[in-house]
Amino acid sequence: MVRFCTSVLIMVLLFVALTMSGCNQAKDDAIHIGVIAELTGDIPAVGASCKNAAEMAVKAVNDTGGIDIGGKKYPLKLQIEDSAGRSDQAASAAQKLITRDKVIAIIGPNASSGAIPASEIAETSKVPLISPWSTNPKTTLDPRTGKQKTYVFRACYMDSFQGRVLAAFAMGELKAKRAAVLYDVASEVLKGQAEVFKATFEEKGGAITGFETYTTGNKDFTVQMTKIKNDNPDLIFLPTYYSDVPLQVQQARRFGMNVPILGSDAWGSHDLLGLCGKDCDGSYFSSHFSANSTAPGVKKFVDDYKALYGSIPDDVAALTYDSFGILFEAMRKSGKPASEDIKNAIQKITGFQGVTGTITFHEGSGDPEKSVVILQIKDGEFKWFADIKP
Amino acid sequence: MTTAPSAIHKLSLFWDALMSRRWPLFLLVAIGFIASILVSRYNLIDQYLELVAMYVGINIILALSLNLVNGYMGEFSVGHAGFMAVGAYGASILTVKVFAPAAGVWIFPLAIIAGGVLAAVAAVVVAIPSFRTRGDYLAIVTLSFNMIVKSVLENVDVVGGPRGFLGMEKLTTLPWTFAWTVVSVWAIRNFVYSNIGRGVLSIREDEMAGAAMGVDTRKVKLHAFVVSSFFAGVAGGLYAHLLQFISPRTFDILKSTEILIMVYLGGVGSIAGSITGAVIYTVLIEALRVLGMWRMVIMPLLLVLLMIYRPKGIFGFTEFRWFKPIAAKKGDGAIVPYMAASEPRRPTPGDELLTINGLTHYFGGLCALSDFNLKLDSGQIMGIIGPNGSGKTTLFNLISGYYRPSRGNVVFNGVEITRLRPNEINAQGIARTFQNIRLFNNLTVEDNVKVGMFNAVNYNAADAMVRTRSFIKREKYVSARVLALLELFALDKYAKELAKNLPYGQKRRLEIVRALATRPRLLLLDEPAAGMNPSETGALMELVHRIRDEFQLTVMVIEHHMSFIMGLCERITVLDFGVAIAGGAPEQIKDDKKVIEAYLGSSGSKNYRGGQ
Repeated sequence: MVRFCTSVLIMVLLFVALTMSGCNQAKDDAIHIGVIAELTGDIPAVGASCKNAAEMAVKAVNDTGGIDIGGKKYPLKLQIEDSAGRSDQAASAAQKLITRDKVIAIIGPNASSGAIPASEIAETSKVPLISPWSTNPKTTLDPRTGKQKTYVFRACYMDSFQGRVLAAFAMGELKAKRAAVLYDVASEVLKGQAEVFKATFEEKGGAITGFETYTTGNKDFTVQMTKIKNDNPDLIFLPTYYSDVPLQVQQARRFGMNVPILGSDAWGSHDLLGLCGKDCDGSYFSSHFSANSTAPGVKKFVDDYKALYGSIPDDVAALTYDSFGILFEAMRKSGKPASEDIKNAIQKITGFQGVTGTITFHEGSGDPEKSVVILQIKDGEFKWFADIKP
Repeated sequence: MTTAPSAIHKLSLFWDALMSRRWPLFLLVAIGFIASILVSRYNLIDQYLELVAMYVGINIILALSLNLVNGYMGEFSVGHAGFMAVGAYGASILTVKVFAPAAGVWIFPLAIIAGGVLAAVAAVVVAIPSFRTRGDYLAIVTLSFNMIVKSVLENVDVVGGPRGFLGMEKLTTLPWTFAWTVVSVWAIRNFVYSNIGRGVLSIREDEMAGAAMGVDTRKVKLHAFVVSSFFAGVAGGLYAHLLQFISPRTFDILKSTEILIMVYLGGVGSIAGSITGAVIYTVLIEALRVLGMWRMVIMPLLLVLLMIYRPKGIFGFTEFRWFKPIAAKKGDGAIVPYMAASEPRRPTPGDELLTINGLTHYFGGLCALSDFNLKLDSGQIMGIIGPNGSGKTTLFNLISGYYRPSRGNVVFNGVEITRLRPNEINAQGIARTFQNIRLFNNLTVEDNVKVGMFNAVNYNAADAMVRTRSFIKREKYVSARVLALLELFALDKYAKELAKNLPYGQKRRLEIVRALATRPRLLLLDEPAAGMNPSETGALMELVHRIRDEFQLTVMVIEHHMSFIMGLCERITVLDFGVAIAGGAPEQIKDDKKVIEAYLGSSGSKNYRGGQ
């Protein structure tokens, strides 16, 4: 009886705690903005970058006295929730932000597995959600109608878009006619990139000589590399994670293949440079963001971020920063601080100058039109090579 | 007497009265169901709380279903998310691809059941290796299953591959979740408190002893896995239609670990434990959001502390009274005499019951038993003696099916039983006890004996889960018979006691009673008098005589107490180094030169008089 009562008491107390949480808000005129980030779980680095950039963006606005909507200045209040990288927790975080914290808009989650269920909740609750980093086409798509969701946006380009641009880049700038592809079949993102690249490349008259796969964790690529070499391609496309890239490039070079190697945004970690050394020199990869880009605003963003957090901002930080930029721009133009008006304003954004490129939204689509940054690895550094416009 | 204690006393009486009846529970469930309908219809609580409440329900189902395998059966499955995935994808394919979205609301319960059935089918695949493996090996099998499911789903493009599957309507509502949770608790609870449930528990306690008592361990394991996975699949279906999105990554090892945490937090082998564990885990994860990234440290920390101070979890092996069967009142059900009229005809004394021909067994190169022959008549008490390591227990293990003999055969009552499994041999009418007592320690005395009646039950798992009349009838019969048996051996006052708490002598006695419950014709007693003093030994001798007569048994007994053997047995066989060196009436054996040599060496004393 004692144990029963104790455990019932604990459960009741927990529920009460849950009921009370988030109820102690002061009734001020601050506008609440929610962030869902992967602070714990398997990609905490993504969550940390997102949180850093979010706090920096909001602080910058609050330092000027708040955001100017319809002639009135509103201070901003940031509410950051953890998704732990899990679908269910991303959903409950979104539901909490909307129901409890009464946020006007949500930035995040970054991982598509969290962004999709969170976007379902945002859409039904009519609260705009901008995912900085979710590249899965299904995030902005309503699967039941096949149309785009109206309240869900993203700040990055999609895999399909990236694959198309990379194929164009390979045939144009790199003059490749025969390309081989090796990709990680266990990753949704990489698989998508490989498939779109193949389709576009073949459509434009190129030939895919090999379309090889492996799965996360494989360390030996000799079988695949032997096949690739036999077909004698003039370019290798490696949509693989940065941790696998060094081994693959080294094994390709050992087989005597000195053709250009092209990667995707999955290469974008500074760890790659140390692991790969000279072997990766001269390779290209696509990115959302380059810290040494000459585009306006980038230098200030990088310097400010470095001053605050002591590191160079990565893709996620830059995309989060741009997500806030888009949101602020829309809020200023919305006329009144309401979710509905902000959503309408986001849809009308054209030529927004972000740190990851120029961003334009079209009515009826949550996917932006923006340029792809191509980087080259040179002398142990990522060097900005080109901005490829679609 | 002051008023305060009497108030407490009254309260506790009232509590007792509430707990020992079923209607308050039914009332609570009905109120809960109506409340869940009202809440979701009129938005009485905000949507965040509603979402968390639905997570709680789904997690209760998951924790219960895993508890069946890990807690009740004592196996270690670590890939439960795999079954959940099968159910989630199965149900989603039905609602999204097979039926029109408009039909979704009507098809939803069917889709959930179909998801569960698919998961149950997958369980058969996992159950089969579990026939042979236990513990760590089974953990690896289930882990692999989890990974296989995830990899397969990643490669099936029809359901979105690694990008995940979506398009489900939000069909999971609070009333549905509540209903399914109640159904799961009810069905799993009914399963556990049934004949097959006792089989499940016997596997946890001592698989070998369970098989010796006639428990078909394969059938039991298969059932437990199937039921467990069915509900994991149900939880998966609910989850998919709540989040409206599933991806293979959702059902990775981490998800399995989450379920494990809930089970071990709440307590293994307990329905109340699973409910508590799921509620605390789910609500705490949400309530601790204020802690930011530290919240994911709190849960594991809590678990570590719990494992140190309460290794079995909050409710480990104990149950909340509402979930236990209501104790039968005195005079409930007809008193069944032990010998029911429906007993099958027993062979008349004088018939040849057991024939062993040239039985030989090798352990590697060591010959444990060599060319052993025996003809045992019905109604006899026969002793097997011999020095340590002479092959006595090996002989019993060969007869009862634990070892497959290298050569030779065993014929029992005209049936060749050499290649049968232990439970099949038991069903033929051979029961045994063990040299080192092998009771089901964490079961009550009553349940120990009930396991012995495993094959006396003719209802199936479905009967048990919905409590059909045939179930109720048969359970009454089993309870009455077990009580009659216990009374016969003066163990009835211990009926509700855990077997491990019995005094030593009673444990020996209980093991014999448990064997008798299987209604054997041949009883194998392996050193029943070990560790007993002379007066206890004398009482045991009397007992064996008595059961032989009352139960019309044939008995084979291994013993070292010579007085016991000489006083009890009509025939004795002496084993030495796996060879039968002598056989005959006690008087003959006493004076056999070879026997004296075997016991005392070749220069053996002439004064040796077998334990006098």
